[in-house]
Amino acid sequence: MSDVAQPLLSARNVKVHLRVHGRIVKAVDGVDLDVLPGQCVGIVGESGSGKSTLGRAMTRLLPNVEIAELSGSVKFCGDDVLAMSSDTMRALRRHRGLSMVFQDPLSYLNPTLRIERQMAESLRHLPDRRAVQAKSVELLQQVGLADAERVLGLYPHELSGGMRQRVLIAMALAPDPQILVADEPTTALDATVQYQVIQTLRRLNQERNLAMLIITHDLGMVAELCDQVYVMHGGKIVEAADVFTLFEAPKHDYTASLLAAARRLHQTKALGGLA
Amino acid sequence: MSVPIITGRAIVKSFGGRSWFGGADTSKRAVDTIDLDVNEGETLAIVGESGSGKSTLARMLLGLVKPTSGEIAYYGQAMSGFSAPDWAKFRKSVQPIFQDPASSLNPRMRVDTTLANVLRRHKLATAATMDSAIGELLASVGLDATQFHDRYPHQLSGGQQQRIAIARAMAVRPKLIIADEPLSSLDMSVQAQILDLLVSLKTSRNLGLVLISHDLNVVDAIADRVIVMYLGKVVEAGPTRQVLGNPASDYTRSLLAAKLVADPRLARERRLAMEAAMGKHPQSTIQGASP
Repeated sequence: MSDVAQPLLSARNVKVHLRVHGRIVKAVDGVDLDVLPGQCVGIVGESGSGKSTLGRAMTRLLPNVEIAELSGSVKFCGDDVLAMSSDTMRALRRHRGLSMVFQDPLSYLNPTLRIERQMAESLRHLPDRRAVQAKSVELLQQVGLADAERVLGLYPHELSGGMRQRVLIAMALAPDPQILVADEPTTALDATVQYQVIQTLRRLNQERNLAMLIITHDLGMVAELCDQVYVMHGGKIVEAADVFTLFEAPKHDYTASLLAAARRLHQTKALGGLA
Repeated sequence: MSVPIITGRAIVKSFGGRSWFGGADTSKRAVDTIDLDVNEGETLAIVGESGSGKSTLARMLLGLVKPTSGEIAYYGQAMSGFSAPDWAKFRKSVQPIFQDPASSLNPRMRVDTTLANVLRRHKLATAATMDSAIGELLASVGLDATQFHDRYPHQLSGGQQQRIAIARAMAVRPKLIIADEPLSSLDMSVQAQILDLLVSLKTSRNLGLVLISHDLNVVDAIADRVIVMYLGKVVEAGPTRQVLGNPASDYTRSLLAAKLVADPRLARERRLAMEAAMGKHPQSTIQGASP
C-alpha cells in the first residue's frame, strides 16, 4: 500500500488459455497491467495478440465454455474480480464500478426497442420515469448528442454508426463508472465520426476523471488519447511505457514495427509541416 | 498517361421513387450528376463519408449497377450499349477489390480453385500451365504458393485473404482496379503492407486504380488525383497535393481535421490549437457529425 495513486484496476500474472479444437491456445499468458484513477491506458496489438481476451478477462466477460486455464489476479479497488460472486460483480457493473464499450455498436443494441427503453434499463436505480428521462437526456448530451430528446424516440437502425456508438457510451456512463473499458470503440466508424468519438472519450476522461482502458490496433488513436501504453504480442506484454516514451524511443522490435506501420499510414505528405 | 479508360458524364443514380399507386416522388439521389475520367496508370481516389455515394459510384463504374441517367463509357464506348462480348472484354480489364475479403471469397473454395476459375474463364492458362500461373500470381502478392495454394479462406488471416482477393483481381492483368475501402477491415500493420503492395503493383504494371476511401492518409500515400464527395455531389476535385494541401471545401477541411496522427505530442498540440480556435467543443464544428 503505497501513498500515491493506488491502481483502480490491476492485473497480475493473468493467464487465459483457451481450448480450440482440442488444442490449448495461450491467448493471454502472464500479463501484468495497472490502470490508475483518471488514467487513460491503451493496450495495442494486432488481431490475435490476445488484447480483447485480456479486456474480457479483466471485466469477467469471457465465455467460460472454452477456457482451459484462467489464473492470476485482477483487482478492482483491491477486490479480486476473478474471485467475486456474480452478484458482487453485477453490483460492481451497476454502481460506480466498471463499464464496457465494444466495437460493433449495432450488435449491442436491441433492434426492436427505442433508445429510451434501452437506456432506462441501465437507469433502474432511479426512482421514477421522469428522473430516468432527465438522466437519459443528460447522458446523451454528455456524449455530444445535442438533440437527445429526439434520439430517445428512435430505433437503433435510425441512428448513424457514430450515434449508436455514442448511445452505447452514454449507457456505459449511466452507473457513473470509475473506469470504462473500450474494445476497438471506433473501428466500425468513419474518419470524422471516429474523431468525434475519440474526442468524446477524451472529454469524459478529463471532465469526469474517468479512467479508461482502451483496446485498439490503431496507434493514431493511442497517440490521441492515452497516457500509458501496453504493447501486446502473442499473449504477452512486450513493452509498457508512457505514451511519449513509447512513440519516441520504442524498446522492443515489435513496437518499432507497429510504429513504422502507423507512420506509413499516418504520414500526410501533402500537408507538409501542418500535420 | 492521359488516355481515359473510363469516362463518366452527368452520372445520376437515384433510389426509391413513386410507388405503384402514384403519390409523391420520394427518390433520393445517391449519386448526383457526376463527371469523371479515370486515366491509364493513374490512381484516382474517391473520398467521402458513409452515405456520400462513393460506393454506389464505384458499383456503377464496375457495371454492377446501371446509372439512372448519364453515361459511362469504356474507351469511348458507352456501357449502356455493351454486348455480351463487350462485357467479357470489360471484365477482363476492369476488376474489383472489396472491403471485406472474407465475404468476397467463396468459403468453400480453396485458394488455387478460386484463382484457377478466373484463369480458365478468361483462357489465360491451360491445364498444363495452371499450377505455374497460380504460383506466379500468389508470388506477385507476396504469398508462398507451396504454403498457400491448398488453403481455404477461413485458414487465412484478414491480410492474407485480402492478398488473395488482389491476386484474383490481378489474374486477368487488368488495366483498372476499382478498390472499395480495401484496407479498412484490416489491422494497422497489415494495412501498411497491403498499401505497399498496391503501390508496387500500380507502378510495376502501369495499373489504373480507383480507390474508394475515407482515410486521407491512405489517399495521400497512393493517389494522383482526388474527388471529394458529399451527399452524392462532388464538392472538390483536383491533384492530391492541391486538395489535401490546400482544401477548398469545408468538408475536406473537416476530414483533414479528423485525421489521426501517430505522434502523441503533435496530437496534443493540434488539439490545443483547435480548441483555442474553436472554443470548448471542437467536435461540434466537424461536418457530418450531427444527423
